[in-house]
Amino acid sequence: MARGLGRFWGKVKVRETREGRTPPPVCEAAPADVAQLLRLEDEAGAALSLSRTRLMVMGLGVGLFFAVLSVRATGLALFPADPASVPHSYAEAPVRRGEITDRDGEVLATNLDFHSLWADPAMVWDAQETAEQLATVLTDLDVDRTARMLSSNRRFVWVARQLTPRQRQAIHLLGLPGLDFRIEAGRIYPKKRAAAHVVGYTDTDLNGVSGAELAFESELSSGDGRPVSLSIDLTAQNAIERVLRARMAEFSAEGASAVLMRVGTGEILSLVSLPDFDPNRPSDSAGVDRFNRALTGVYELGSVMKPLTLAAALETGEVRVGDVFDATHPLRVGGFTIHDFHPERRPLTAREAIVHSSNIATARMADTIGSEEMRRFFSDLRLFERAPVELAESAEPLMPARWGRTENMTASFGHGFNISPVTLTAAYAALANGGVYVPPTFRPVAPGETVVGEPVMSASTAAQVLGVMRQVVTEGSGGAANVEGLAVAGKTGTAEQIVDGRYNRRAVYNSFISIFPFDDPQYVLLVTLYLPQPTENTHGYRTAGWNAAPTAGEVIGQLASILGVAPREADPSAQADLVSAMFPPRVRVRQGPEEPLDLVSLSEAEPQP
Amino acid sequence: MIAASRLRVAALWRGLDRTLIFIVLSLIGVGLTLSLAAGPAAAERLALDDPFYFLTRHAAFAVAGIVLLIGTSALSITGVRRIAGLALIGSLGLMALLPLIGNEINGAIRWIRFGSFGLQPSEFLKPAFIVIIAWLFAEESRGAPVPGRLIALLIYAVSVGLLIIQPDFGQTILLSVIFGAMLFAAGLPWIYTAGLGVAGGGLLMIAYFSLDHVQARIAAFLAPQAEWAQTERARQAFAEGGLFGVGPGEGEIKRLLPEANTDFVFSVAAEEFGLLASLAIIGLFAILFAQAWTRALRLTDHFAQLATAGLALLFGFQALINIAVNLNLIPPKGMTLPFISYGGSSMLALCFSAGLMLALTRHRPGAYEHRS
Repeated sequence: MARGLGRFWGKVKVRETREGRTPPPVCEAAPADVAQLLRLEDEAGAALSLSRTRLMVMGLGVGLFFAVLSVRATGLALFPADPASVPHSYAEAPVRRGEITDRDGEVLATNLDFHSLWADPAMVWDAQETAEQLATVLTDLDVDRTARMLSSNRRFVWVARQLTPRQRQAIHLLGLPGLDFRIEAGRIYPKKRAAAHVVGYTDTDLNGVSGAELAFESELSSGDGRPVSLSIDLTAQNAIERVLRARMAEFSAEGASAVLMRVGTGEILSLVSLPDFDPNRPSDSAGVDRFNRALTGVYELGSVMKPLTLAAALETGEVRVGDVFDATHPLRVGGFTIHDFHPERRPLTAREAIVHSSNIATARMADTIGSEEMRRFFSDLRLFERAPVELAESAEPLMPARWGRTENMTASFGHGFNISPVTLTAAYAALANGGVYVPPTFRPVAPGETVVGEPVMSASTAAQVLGVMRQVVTEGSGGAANVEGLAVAGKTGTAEQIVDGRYNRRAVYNSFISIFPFDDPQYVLLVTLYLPQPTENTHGYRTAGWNAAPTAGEVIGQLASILGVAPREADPSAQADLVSAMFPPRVRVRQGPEEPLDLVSLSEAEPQP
Repeated sequence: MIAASRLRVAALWRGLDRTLIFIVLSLIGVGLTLSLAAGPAAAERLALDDPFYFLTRHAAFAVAGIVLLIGTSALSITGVRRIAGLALIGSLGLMALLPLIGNEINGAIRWIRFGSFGLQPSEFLKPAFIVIIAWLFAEESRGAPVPGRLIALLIYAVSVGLLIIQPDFGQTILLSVIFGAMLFAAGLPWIYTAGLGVAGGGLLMIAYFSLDHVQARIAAFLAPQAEWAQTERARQAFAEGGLFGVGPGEGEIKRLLPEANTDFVFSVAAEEFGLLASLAIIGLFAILFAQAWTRALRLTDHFAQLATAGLALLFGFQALINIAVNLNLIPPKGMTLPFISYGGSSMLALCFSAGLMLALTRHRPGAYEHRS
């Protein structure tokens, strides 16, 4: 061992023998042990040459490796894999999707790039410390949970989604290893709940799920995303929403909806359905909040249907507004009794039947013209099909299996068949449009654009019914909807709903259909309150005249300035007189002595003060 | 006296292999250039105030390394042997003490902290181990009464054992491959060579199945979700860089790769300076290896020959492994790119190795065989 160490240190030379000798002549001197030296020389020489051979082989091998690396580097640099398989996590092109705006260009839906934070736990140095540091930026981060996630065995975990640029930068500056960002395209709705049901929302991959996002999917996602403007007037939408929200709370209603349509173009300027939701976080709200009551909901809407029955009757020519129908006693038909809510217990003219909202008289009116005529007229008004709007949420009506005499009579006052509020609004828009039906739409109609309509009743019929509806507001149950100078025409509807198989007096859906201004109809508004409760102000009543009508009145009062409706001192009869004089009834008129068309309140039984 | 020493310096300089010096200095220069780009990004990621923290230190280590290189290159063959022996004992001793006094980073205990400098004894183990093993093999083949291979095997076992404790799988493989190659070069009969190969393969299998972190690394390399692994990022760098690169400082990869200034500096070069730079680096290493190798082939002293070849293999393999990792050919190893990567211990130890190699290949009378 000692000898080995000595050899290593290089001291082992045969020095001790040198001292006693004279130095031998250089080169010629024989070493002490010639034999050993010769053997050593020989062996060393053989070992050296063997090593050389082997080193040459190895050298070539290593050289080959260098060549392989050069080839590989060249391949990677000059012939990169196809771009799809080379991930560019640091320069991802965001998905493009068109914006959705209201009719004035107010942005309702747009895109925003979100930065999402993910981690590769294998590269995180200290999970606990990383989580704690992150919590200094993301204050609502669950430190324990994050630390657990960061120490897991996975190679990819989301830490936080949808960060603001500021948060992203702050996290970046923390300099924590193992963390990285991804750009995710996100859809945001800057107006939040406004028109949420119309605009709809998308899933995380930006595919439309509901509303306009779904209906106009192909436009929004084509190419770089084409913008889509809606017919919605955001100002009107907000005003109606505000009023409805307050009224819904006042009457402790389960819900409320409103549809505002422009006469002549069919544009839906506003569609409100409460309760609503925030499309930025659709999953945070219950399914019932995302339900579009005005479009997807189909209801028995009740007495708001009566003016349409009157129109059907007038249109046949068999009935005039002055014709009398007996409403003295409840009407029995097919094992079913028709009552009046506020019984007059006397014969009523057709006009009075509407103004006093007599179920009995309206049913008799429908019976007079027969179910065939009624069905044809209602079907012309598209009451028997889904509202022809772009949105997929538009629901099919629920119709009775057969339309017999009983069904015909109940349908005359809005029971036994279920339609959506938008369907009804579109039908009244035809009435307001001089009898021409225009399909409702969520797209804006440019001024001067030709809108194709379909005549469904004579202008005379429409004018007469409008006159009666005006009277409902001036003398009937719709008084609360009267707005000074706006000449509102309307009709209330208190529809009892079936609870446990029976109509329940306490469960009502109250509506008010209104057309304004009455003498130059421009807008149709349908307001509906779902399950409103009586309050002190309503003196214990829960009928539409006490809640839906004043709600509509407040809405119309606010809309006047928004929509630019000039106030007028309306002579209710003037327009109706003019129109009915210009257009004689379209279809067969009952034979008999000529008498002047019996218009609003002129030759009524009770003289006006 | 001064004249004499001047003469001596002049003689030394004439004897040194200037090609090797030139290449080593070039590589150090390339490393400093890349540190200009990758260093500030690394400093930013670690939230250091001084963006040139890494550059300053890199430069300081480079200067210290060059001084060490010059000093070592003046050693005699015996001096090389002596200093390598001391370095071997010192590094093995420190590595044995690591569990007590070492610092843990990333789950491995490899460093001893002196102020702001972390010493990694295993870096100094490699050249010392190679020189000593070469001497033992040479002694044995010369027929000296020393059981050279047996002692070499013992030293190897101790070194590898200490490396596995850390754990440092990459260095273990490097050391084993060099050991095997030197054993082969020293004249191991073919039958043993084949046996050694089988044993090595078997050991690799055992390591894979018994050591978790090895398994994890390889799994991560093979898994398709390597999409976000470091190597995939490195691969993007090559694609981005193309032929001429995106330009100095314009690269993105250095901000995304956690070890851009150390293990993945090659990718930074490829992105910022393009294929030309990466081929140039590969070329420099190839020339370094080839020069050392031809020198080794012509050396007449068996010890010097084996030691030079071993040191050449150290540079060559370390460069090959690092570049192969960057090129996504093999799983990440945690191996620096010689002379280029940032890292104090690595830089000093490699300059030390280069100095030893220069000393071994220095022209001395009779040191080289005359070509016939």
